[in-house]
Amino acid sequence: MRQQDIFNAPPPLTEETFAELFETCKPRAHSRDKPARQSEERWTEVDWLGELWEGRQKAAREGKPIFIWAMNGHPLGCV
Amino acid sequence: MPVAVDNTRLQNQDDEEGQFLRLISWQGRYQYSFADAHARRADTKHRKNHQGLYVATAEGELLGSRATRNPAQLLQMLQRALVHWEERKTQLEAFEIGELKRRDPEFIWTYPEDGLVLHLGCQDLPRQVDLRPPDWQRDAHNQDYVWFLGSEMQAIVPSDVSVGDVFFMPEAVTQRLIRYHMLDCVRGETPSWPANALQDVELRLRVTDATADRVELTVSGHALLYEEGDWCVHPPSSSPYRIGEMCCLIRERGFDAELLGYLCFDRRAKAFSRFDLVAVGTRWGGTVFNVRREDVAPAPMGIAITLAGREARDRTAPHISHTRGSRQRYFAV
Repeated sequence: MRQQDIFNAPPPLTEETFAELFETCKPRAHSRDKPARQSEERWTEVDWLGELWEGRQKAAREGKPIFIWAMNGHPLGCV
Repeated sequence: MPVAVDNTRLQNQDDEEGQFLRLISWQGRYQYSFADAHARRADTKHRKNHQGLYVATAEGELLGSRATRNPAQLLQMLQRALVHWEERKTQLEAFEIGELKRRDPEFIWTYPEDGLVLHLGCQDLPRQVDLRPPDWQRDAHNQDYVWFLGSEMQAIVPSDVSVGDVFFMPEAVTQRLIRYHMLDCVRGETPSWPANALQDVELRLRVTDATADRVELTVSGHALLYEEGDWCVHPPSSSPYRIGEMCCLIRERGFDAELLGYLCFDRRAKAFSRFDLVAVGTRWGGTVFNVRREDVAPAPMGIAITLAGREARDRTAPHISHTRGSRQRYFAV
């Protein structure tokens, strides 16, 4: 594939453009960016447990039902 | 008790945890009775998708189930589940459940406490000519986690470096980053690159500052990745054909990217205090689940990687972890 064949060329990645591209592409749910960056990632406001067995144990101990969000891929990671 | 889980792993996991997910999902998604679901819970060869949203008691009695992206439908399911909770036949009082007696060894991934854990984001970049429909696909973004063992992290920065030194990123680190994380998962999951997809890859480090306390480095390089295949994706919803009646074949996928990043290694803590890396380039093609059926033409995509945070969800394993036996491949490359 030649560069001139590309209709939608990518932006240049240089020392000057790095910061903007980094901010654009970094994970929107990054936990160090709370709360500003996560305001649109409302799912991060829930204290999800990431393992089913741990959830089952806690639900049994605390007398609560379990709500399971089961995705192909991990909902807290890549789906 | 809100629990978010990787169904791809659990639906195939050969232990009590996998059985518990299947006990619930057979009842919910496939409407089995509790007895029938219980009888089939140990089956790991079912080849059925158990993805969904479920509410259940800790003993596996289904209270609610819905596979939906619609918040109103989810809320309705949760409200009905709470009514069923009041009428439940199991978990009538609190009780203790012990630790798993055995974990399926094919899916054990242990968080690298002394290693390097990175958080990755990816998304499409602006296009000069944009033919995408004005829906979620224009703003799609995804994330993943990147794991390196302590020994792998320590190998990135040699102990005796000086300002101006230039050297290659260790091969194991480069291969991990490129094969498992330079992926087009913007709209959905996609397989890692096979070794022969790496056409031209190089990552170099240059020392820009070095003191007794820290080493600052610039990382730069490129990655040309290309794979041919026969990825069969579902027909569009507007098609007269249903899922399984026809295939929309995608024959290739690729990513031609430049990489640039800035790192700072804390010599006293023996850990990175900064690991910011960006990959920008042209992606094309697609695979079965990354929703590129109508968007296979070359277009710009960006990936950014930075140090992961310290919340519980930041301990989520890399996406590849849900594939049977993948730990050996991920850490052996």
